[in-house]
Amino acid sequence: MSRAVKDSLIMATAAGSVALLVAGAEIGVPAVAAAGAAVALGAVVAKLITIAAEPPDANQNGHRPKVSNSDTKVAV
Amino acid sequence: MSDAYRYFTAFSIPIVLILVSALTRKIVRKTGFTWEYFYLGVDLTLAAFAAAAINVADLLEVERHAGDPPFNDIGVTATIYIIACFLLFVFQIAFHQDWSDRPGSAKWKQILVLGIASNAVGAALLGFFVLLKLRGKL
Repeated sequence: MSRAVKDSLIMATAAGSVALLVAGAEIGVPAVAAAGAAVALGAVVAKLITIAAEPPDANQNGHRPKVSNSDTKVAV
Repeated sequence: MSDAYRYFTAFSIPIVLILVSALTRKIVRKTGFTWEYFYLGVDLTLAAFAAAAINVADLLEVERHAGDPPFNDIGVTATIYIIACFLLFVFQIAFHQDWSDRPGSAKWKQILVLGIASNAVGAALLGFFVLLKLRGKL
């Protein structure tokens, strides 16, 4: 799964957490709002895991670009 | 106050905030408009967090004067709203850190994630907070 798809799913989870939060406040049930906060926490953790799992110089698909030997030679 | 007027009031605030912030960035940086000026999800979420925190302080003060117990259902929900705003603030920071200058990423993906989706989450948090406050639910 590409990073863009993963991030879209995580963003949708965050949007769902806002919806739960607002619904909880609207109907006056704090437990529903708390469920929204829990989903928001899940979205944060998921996003941080995707950042931590990615190599530092990865491209948009989450793959590190290949470096050939010729790229690393130093001209003298 | 009619419900349509409440919706208009609540959601015009984040929209005006986005336009004014983008214009301010353009004036301060002395360059032409770029999409980066409209990436304001973090700012909107922070504004919602600040508003929710002031609301809880206000609720506690009102209830102290009225002699009511400090945390009824509205107080608990308002506190949960603050916690969720803070969590989503951290979430927005992570998204902006990840997408703001990603090498090899298409520009339209950045606009979609930071310019539309991130702004929508922040605007929803702030707009719905104002709406719920106007309805007396928070």
